[in-house]
Amino acid sequence: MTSEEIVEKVKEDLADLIQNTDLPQGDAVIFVAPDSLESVAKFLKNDADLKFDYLSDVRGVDYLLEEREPRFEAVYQLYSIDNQHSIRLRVGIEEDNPSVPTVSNLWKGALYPEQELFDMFGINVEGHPTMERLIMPKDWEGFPLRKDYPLTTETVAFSHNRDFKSELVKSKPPTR
Amino acid sequence: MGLIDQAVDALENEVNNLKLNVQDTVKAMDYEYSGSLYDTVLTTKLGKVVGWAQKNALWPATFGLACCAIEMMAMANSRWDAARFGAEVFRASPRQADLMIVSGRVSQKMAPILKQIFDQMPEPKWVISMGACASCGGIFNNYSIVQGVDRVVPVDVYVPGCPPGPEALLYGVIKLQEKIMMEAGTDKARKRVA
Amino acid sequence: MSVTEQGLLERDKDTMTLNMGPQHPSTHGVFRVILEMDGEVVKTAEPEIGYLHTGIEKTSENKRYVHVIPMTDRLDYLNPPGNNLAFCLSTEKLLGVEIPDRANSLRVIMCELARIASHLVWLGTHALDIGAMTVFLYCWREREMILDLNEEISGVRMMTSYIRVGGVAKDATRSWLDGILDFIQYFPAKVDEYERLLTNNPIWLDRTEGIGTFTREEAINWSLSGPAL
Repeated sequence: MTSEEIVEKVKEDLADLIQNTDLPQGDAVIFVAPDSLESVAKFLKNDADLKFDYLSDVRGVDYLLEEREPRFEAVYQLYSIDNQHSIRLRVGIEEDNPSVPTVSNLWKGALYPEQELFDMFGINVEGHPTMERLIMPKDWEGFPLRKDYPLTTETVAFSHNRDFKSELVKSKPPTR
Repeated sequence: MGLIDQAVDALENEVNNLKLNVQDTVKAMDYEYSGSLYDTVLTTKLGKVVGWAQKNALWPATFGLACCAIEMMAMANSRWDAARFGAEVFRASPRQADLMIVSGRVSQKMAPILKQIFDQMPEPKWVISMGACASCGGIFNNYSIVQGVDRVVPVDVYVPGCPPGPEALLYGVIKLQEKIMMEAGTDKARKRVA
Repeated sequence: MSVTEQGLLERDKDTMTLNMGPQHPSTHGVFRVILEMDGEVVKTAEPEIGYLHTGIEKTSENKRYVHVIPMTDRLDYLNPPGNNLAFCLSTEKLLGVEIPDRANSLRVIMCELARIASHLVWLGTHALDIGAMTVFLYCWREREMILDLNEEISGVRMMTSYIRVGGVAKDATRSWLDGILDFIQYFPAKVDEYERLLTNNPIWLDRTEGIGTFTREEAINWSLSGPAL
């Protein structure tokens, strides 16, 4: 099925659960609210024509710099092995107490990516068996991929900042 | 009156400096000539022999973390044979190795483990920091990469490159061998073991 | 409750908890698995990842598109052109740009060479871990030929950054193409050599057959990719 057909079918069958649809550069995209994510995902997986049985990716986005509501978004990329078409689910998540239901009972491959969502963005995934830090050390504070988290805490000594280069070298902690 | 005070202070400073210098020289002479001449000659020559043996049989511990590990494996393979320089066996256990080649980027989560493995190595031990990420953080100046592995372990030779070719790493090993030979039989080598 | 907590509570279990730590000769890179073993059979395995987290995503957010291409090289460091390709294809899709045919063919050549090189690493290290050290040396010998080709076309052995947004970095030369043709003629005989060493080897078969199996549905459900799928 082409992207337009997918979007049409989804709009017919799930009219009130979807907030919006889009077709950027030939991809099928549907916008969903976090509460209706489970029903939409179940429909997409089990429907005979659509049959999205493969979860390609789960990613998070932080729209702080674009000043968009809602601030966070979880993006699910689904693919159908038999029908060879794909769809993107975008779930907008609010800033205070961000949380989204899990899809790991439908696609078990979502377990690690959802843990990564929590680790990197602080988005709580309800229903997930282990909601703890995956990539960062267990006692790390802060959520690295948020836009207000600083990238680095130290400046590197180059030749263009040669004036305070000697101070930078001095401030390197002693070895051992 | 002020002038005389200044002169007295300056004289006192000079005398103190002289005293300290004399103390240093006396201590050095004491150390040099403690025991018989036969003893010092033998220990220095023996130190050189020990250094020669150490440098020709440096056994690396496998600490391949990322991309540099592939080039480290390439160094150990048939084209740039590291075995002809003594690094024949890459020991898996740090307790049997004396060289740790930190090859790859060290993340914050990995740094305590790096320290632990280094501590598990018996003295004397050397560290080669291979690649840009191990030497200074490389192209990753961010929250999760330790900016230079010398914040965690003391490094002897830095090999730059991203990744350094096997010939560069081999040159680093040769430089380390020269360093061992230079230090052999002197205080520095004794400090490594003690 | 995690596996380790369960193990500590039931002390009279028969299984042994073994930590296959981040530094291990066969993890090739850093990967930690906490194994519960009954003799030599692994009952449960709890992996712990994150020891090589580089923060490439966040660093790339603060760089220009061209600067991100060398960062993508280091994601899967055995296949740098593949990572470049993924990034460049998506950027070109967003821009709506068409790539000339010659650039496309050069991209395909680089990616396939990198695929061969990456699989040689896999085969060599897999054989090394199981015990066949000769295959390790043979695979790297072939890989050196591919890396020489890389160096000729881009100047760098491994992290070529050859594939750029809108095409490739440099056009191919006659000598490079001749080198590829020589490699293509030389390589199949080497594959036969590996097969002679491994395919009917009883030790190899014993150690690889029936280990860690899963069904087709499980592979799809678990979102596996690559040869496992």
